[in-house]
Amino acid sequence: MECRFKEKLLLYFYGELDEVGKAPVSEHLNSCKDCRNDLEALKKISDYFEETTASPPDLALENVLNTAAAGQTGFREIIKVFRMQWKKIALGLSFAAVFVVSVNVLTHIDKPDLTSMAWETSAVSEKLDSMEYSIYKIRFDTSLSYFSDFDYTYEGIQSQKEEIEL
Amino acid sequence: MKSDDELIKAFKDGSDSAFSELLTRYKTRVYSYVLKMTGNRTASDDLFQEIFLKFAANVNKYRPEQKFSSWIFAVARNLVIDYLRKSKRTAMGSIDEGQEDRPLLETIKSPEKTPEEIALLAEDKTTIEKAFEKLSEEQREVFLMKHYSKLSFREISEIMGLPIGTVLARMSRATARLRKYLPL
Repeated sequence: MECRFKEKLLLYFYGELDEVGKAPVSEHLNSCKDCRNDLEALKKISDYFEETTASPPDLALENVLNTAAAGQTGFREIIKVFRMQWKKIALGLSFAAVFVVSVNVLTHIDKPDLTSMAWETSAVSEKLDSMEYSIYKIRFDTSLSYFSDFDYTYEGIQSQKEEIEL
Repeated sequence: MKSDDELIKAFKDGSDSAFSELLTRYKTRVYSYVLKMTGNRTASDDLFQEIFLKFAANVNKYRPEQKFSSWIFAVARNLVIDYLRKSKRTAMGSIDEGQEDRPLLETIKSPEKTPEEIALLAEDKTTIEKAFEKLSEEQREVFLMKHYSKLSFREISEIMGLPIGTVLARMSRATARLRKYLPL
């Protein structure tokens, strides 16, 4: 059966128990050889890991330092410029905003949105569109027929006149 | 000696030397963790740079109530997990492509050691290395995080998003497994 102190032993070894928590573990260690061996193993492994740390190569360190410094410098420059010129920047942005809004208002004033009309698919709009188209067509036909009738009539009169003259 | 928070504040205010000091303070611990998790030096060099550059780029988002070591090891862990996932996918496609065959644990520096001590360390190295390879990835992760981050189990459980009991159980199993291979 596994000892119920195993996990507490870890907290004990790494100094994560307060005095109240330490006391029963210390007492237990006096009577449990298995836990004493665990403690010894932990110490050996910890020492080993301390002895075998690795350092990054100098080139990697240089890269990190240079890139971070360049990034910070770039960011700092932006902040510096902003701090010095913030009034001008704010004024410029305000003008730009006013210009954009004005252009938008002027281009859309009193003009129906043709795009949205073309895509309007409600039944009422369809009917209105169809009526509008019919009126347009009648007007167009009428105007065409008017001119063509006129031309036709004029040509007829002209030919009749010529026949009489002959 | 300035605290991590003081150095971060100085770095935010534009001190490059503060960043350099933080890097010096954490480079060995972070690099060792990454190297021993990946077992690949080239990948570790890249990941190490990515970790610290991520910090430099996001320093303004850093919350002072957060411990720097927790933050940097959380980033390191996420990048290592991404790397391991990708390398597993690559390995399924082509075996060992771009991988260096390196032992998981390396003795990098052992200054001020007598030849006997070095010999003993080499012996331990082989034993512990072999034992370490027997651990599951989760056990290895907890073990290395604990040893290199020096964070508490509570903090590690927060980084990993696991209950502290699970973290302790993994660590306990890892220790028991390693102990089997160690001459005591």
